[in-house]
Amino acid sequence: MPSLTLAPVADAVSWLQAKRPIASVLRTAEWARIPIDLRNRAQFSAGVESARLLQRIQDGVLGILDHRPNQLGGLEDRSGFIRDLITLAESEGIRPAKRRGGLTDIGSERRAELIYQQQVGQAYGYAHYKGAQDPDALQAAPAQELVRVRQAKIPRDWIDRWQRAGGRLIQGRMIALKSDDIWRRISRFDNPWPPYDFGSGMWVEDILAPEAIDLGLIAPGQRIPPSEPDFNRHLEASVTNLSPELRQNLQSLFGPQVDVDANKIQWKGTAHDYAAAAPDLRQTARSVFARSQEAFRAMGLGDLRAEIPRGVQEAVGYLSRTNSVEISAVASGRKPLYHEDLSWYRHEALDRYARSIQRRLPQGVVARHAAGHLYVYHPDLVGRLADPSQPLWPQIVAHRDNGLWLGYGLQRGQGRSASILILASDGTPVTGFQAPAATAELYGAARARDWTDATGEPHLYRIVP
Amino acid sequence: MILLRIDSQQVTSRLEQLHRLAARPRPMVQAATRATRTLLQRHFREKDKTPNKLGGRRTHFWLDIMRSTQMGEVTDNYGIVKIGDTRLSLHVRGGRVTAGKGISSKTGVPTRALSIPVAPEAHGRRPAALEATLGIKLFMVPKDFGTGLLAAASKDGSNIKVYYILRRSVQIPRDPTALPPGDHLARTAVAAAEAHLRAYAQQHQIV
Repeated sequence: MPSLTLAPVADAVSWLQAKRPIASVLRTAEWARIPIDLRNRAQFSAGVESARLLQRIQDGVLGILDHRPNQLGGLEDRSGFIRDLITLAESEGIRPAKRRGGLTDIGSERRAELIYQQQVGQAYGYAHYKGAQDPDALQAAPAQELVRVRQAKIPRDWIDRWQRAGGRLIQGRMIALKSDDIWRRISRFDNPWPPYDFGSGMWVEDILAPEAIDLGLIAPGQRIPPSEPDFNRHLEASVTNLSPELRQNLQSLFGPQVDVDANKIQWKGTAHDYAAAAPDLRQTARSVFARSQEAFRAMGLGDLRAEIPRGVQEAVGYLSRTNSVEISAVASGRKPLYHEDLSWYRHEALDRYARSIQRRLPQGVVARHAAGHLYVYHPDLVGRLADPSQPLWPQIVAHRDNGLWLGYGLQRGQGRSASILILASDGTPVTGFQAPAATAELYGAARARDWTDATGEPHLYRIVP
Repeated sequence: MILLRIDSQQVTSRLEQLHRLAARPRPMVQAATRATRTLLQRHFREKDKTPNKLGGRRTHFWLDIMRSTQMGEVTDNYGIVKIGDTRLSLHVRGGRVTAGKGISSKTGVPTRALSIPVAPEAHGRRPAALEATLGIKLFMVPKDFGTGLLAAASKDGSNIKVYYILRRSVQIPRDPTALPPGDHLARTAVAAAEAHLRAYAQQHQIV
């Protein structure tokens, strides 16, 4: 006889416990490019770098799921969780100056509610899915139906989405076997369990075997194989499908929170490690940026080679800023290589500039010039892209215009590309580059971060259609 | 905490009969328990259609309960439906809630009063969240120890609105409709078990 109990749902709790707080500047569209096994194990919120806030989200959701009482015997609940996120975001000083109250404001009630709905919903959605993969459960209820559980003012057209994803309507209903890949295809998050989108009013309901037979979904006696992903075994993501450049970019975006090697990529630290390392990295970026700009500007007209037209000087201001941002990104460990043809400067001037930068670079990072070209490189990072059996320096020279080595993820003219503009906070473009179309958001975020850290002013990116 | 044990002699004996008929009862128990869960989920969905009495923005409390309604352990002999959201307990059984179980976000010490919303804007919001969201500053009008009001002045200062009353404790009445009737759950479980066995019998040409 079935009975009804009030108790923590173990699979929902284990889903949450497997997560660790991961800080990053990435927004929702950029997180969508992160491998699913990593994403599912990260406790993140778009654009949030505050370790304290992410830890509060993790602790709060876990408290809601596992019924762990506080020291006074009280239980975590929705309204207390939302209040704490709002007040913590305010005290951490991470609310935006403009557009407060919207979803991009981490201290808004709307955002806090979305975090609650999403986090708790995903945990119970996973539990629902996991419980359904038991062979006896599949025999009893081999299919499920997508049903609306909450009316919306402007409801999404789920029937259209279902059909576009290849789903078949059965008597006008969105029903499919639990093993069908449609459940993953309708999801914005690539997971086969609900919720399938932000703020979704849809959930799933079991279809028992007799009805599944009547609807022609299974034949009598037919068994449906379980399709549970090896969530608890996938502590890492395979890097088989990730280019070395993208691995490099992930390392630069997540810093000490991620471990990338030749075969796999996995979380190794938490947002606290990121927060601890961030001030030093920012300090390095700003200090190298300032020194580079100063040294670049110190090269006057007298340092130009005689044959160079004077008009070139107009470009110096622009070059001093963009070059210095790129050099500071190499110094901060986010870009493998910087290269520029500065052959219009005399040898002695370039030598003075390179030596000046070198004095501010962290140990191991090299500034070097040859034949009028300036190179700044991070030996560890370029070493991951280079052929280890060959000397490094000739390879750097050979790849000096290679977008893969320069941190743009794409060799010019190869593969499908997207154009990205880096914008100052007032929307003025400051630079642009080409990146792989499939992961353009990640490269846009990384290079915008270079500008923000170096200049101390917020920068954004835009993918140009 | 057991919220409900479906305990009808007639239904129990019918399930025991079915149990003896099944070569391997666990799939049948799965079917019965899953049908029970679906009935509960639909019941909570229906309850969610009724707006809160205060008239404020919806928090969809009953949908939270629905999502947390999950399968627990299922054996050859019994199945458990688990509800993961602790807030249901008070609605099923009623009870007294007392201040002092949480830390005040204002003072950092254990709360001395419960804030009971009396204005639509306050529904589902703690006072600090209300202040941040509406951009108001609440002030306390104390009465006796641990009781009083939380109110705020309107923007032009012409009037005062009360958002919460403060109480040391509050009695939550039992909601007799929090769960579907036990016999409805029992009939649903039996019907699902019978349908499962019928399909099994047809498949093996037993009938």
